Amino acid sequence: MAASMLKNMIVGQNNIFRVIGYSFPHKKVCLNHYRCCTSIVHGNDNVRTEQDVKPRRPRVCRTTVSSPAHQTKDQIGQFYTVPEPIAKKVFTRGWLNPKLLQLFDTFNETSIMVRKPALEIIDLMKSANYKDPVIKYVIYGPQGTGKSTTLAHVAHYALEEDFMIIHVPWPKHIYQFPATYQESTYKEDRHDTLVESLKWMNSFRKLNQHHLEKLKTTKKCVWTKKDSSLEGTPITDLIEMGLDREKHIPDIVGMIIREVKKQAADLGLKVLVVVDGVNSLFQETTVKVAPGEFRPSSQIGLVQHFMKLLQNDWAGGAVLLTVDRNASKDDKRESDLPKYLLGKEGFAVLDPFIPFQTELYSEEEFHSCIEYFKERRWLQGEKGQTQRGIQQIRFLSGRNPYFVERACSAW
Amino acid sequence: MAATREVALLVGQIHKHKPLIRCSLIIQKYCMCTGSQQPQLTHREVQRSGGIVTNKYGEPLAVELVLPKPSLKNYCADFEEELKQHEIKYAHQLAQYKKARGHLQNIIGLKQMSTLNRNRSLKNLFPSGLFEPKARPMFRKPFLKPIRSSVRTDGRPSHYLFYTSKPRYYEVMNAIALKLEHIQRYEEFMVSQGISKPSSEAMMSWADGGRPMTLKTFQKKCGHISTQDYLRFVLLLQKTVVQPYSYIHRDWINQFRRFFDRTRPPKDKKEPKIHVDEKGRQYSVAEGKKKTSLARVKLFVKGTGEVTVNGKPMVAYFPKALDREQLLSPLDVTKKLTTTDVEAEAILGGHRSQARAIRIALSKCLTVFVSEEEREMLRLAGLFKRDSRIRERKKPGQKKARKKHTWKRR
Repeated sequence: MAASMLKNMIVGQNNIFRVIGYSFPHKKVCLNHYRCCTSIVHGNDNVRTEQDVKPRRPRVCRTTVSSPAHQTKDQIGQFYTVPEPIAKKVFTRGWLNPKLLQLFDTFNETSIMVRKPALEIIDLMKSANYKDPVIKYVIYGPQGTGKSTTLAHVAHYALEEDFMIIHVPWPKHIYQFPATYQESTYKEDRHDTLVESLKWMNSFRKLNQHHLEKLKTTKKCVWTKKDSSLEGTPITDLIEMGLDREKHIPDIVGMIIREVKKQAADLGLKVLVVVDGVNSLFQETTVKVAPGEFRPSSQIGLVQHFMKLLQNDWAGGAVLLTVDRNASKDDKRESDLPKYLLGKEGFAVLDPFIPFQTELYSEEEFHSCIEYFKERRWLQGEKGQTQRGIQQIRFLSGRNPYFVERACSAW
Repeated sequence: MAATREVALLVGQIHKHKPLIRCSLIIQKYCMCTGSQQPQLTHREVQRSGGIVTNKYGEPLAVELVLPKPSLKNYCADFEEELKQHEIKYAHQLAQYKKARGHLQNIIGLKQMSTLNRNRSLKNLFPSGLFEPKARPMFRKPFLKPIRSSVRTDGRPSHYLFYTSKPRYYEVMNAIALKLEHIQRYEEFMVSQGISKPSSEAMMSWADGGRPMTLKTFQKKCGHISTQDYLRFVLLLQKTVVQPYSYIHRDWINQFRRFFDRTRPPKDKKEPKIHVDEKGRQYSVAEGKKKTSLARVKLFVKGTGEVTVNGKPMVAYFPKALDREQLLSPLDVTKKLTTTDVEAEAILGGHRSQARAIRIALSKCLTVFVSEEEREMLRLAGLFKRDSRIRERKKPGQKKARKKHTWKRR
């Protein structure tokens, strides 16, 4: 009795705060609420038969294991809440779809489902030897099945394990509609995009402040006739210099990457390279060179630097990639398989890699998701919560995670 | 009777070598002139005898000429002349046709051609992009339309309602109205006798399952009439049926009504069958249409609710929820959302019309596997009905089908 009363009270409170519009620690309340529910299932008020005594698995859509390192197969299909400091770093714009971020905002918490590919990658990363050449993990799958979310999930693990993270949000943005194009002073046939490089540099510095302090250059650099930086200058100084003289930023990016590749294994620095939509690195840009001929993206400075990260010639890190249909050109979007999307050239660069497929929700995952949406009141219509309504959602969404959310929003 | 047979004999002799149609028409006309009954002769009889009519012993019947009255001579002559012209025209057309057919056969190099072959070869020889099929070149045997006269021999119309312009229609209406009057008079009489109502068993009612005959069958009876006229007929019939004593003319009234047997299943030749594939799964196949789109659906009864369209998952093929909801409806009505698998193929048209075509095919597929009640539910939900609307053509002098150019004073 007490339990049900408590449950009513909490649910009532929840509604009141929703109406008034106060922010409220939903997480705590809802966890309590679920504990209440489970205690009702296992409650021992009445005399029970044998069947009732058997431990039934309660329908729980959440898990309290919030660090990815400790998550196991038992947690598959359950939602975990990402701690706020990490959510601010990794579950932000550039990492995830803005629509998903909006959803986090309305739910007042950042929680994602624990799914199989992320766990597998984390397991492999745990057991990897970081003195050997880098291992490449390539994630592929249909639209809306959680490729980027898997990236963020693994990045959460990496942050907890104190990795240095080199994140390339969506390579297409580097060359698709750049603000300016500028010929490089360092090399011929190289074109730099300044604004994009500056943006990347800022976000990179924000994410890895304390790692950058360890790094120092191993080579003398001549910027102009008068100006040069000696061997052994800290990288942080270089970056600050670059912020003063924007012209040099693309070259400084190249230097940082070179230094990271060189020193990672020696310093014991673990590096995670994350690229969302790698297949766009191996394409033409939108700039016309001659009639019918476009400049290949391999002539763009930033692209050249990032491509170096994908090679096998360095140790002390892991490379985490996604292959996305939307990153390809319009005429090359027929399949989701990496070999098709990467093309011959891209495949040759990435080979060897370990592929992981993100899939549609399984039956259990789907119902767990529905439970979660019910709890968050994203699915709040009476008809939508009936068995028939859920069947309709299942049919309309085809168990595709993105479309499940869309279908639930309608009810 | 004998006299008319003899007339026929005479005519047969005179026009021995002329086509049969003409013969029979002339017999008809002669009989009309003399005011006697038409001989009960079939075309075959005339043909068999070679124009000579005999009695049952095979002897030729005596000739007894009954000439028409002189005042009517001119009329008959005119009519014969008209027939003659008509025949000449037909013969000319037929000769042209035969000549052309010979040419066509020479070109194609076939001695005998079926109509299908002929039409095909014509399509090849004279390709046409015209929209209207009637406007395209065609090759057909000329057709002799029989001449009918609605005027009697004395120059007056043959029907007494000729001047209403719809004589057969008003004949029917008139008859029904007379019956109605009779029924009402009968009711008055019964009331005066002190009987207010007939027994309820004898009474006819509008709800006995009978409906007025359809516009099509009514048109067969009364010639071409408008829907408005048909509605007037329906109203009148309804009024008659509702009368308490209408049963006295029950049989007569029912000739204008139709009854269908509800227990009998509807005739549908294209009803899908149950097939079994290599894995032993039961499935049915059906087709659907909308606008230009065509869809074919394979429905497996035992499945997990997975749908593919043209080899892709439904979500990938129809990104809009509106299209997916189309497929939802038949499965939702029959509560088979999670227990069936669907493989659909759709061609031509856009996404909306393809989804609609698949929906129709899907509900047709379902009919085999569901109960009678559920089938009725599908029907009531309008899931079998093909949407007959099509794209309206663009008009010359206008921007689109309806849109006009901007009007300018000058």
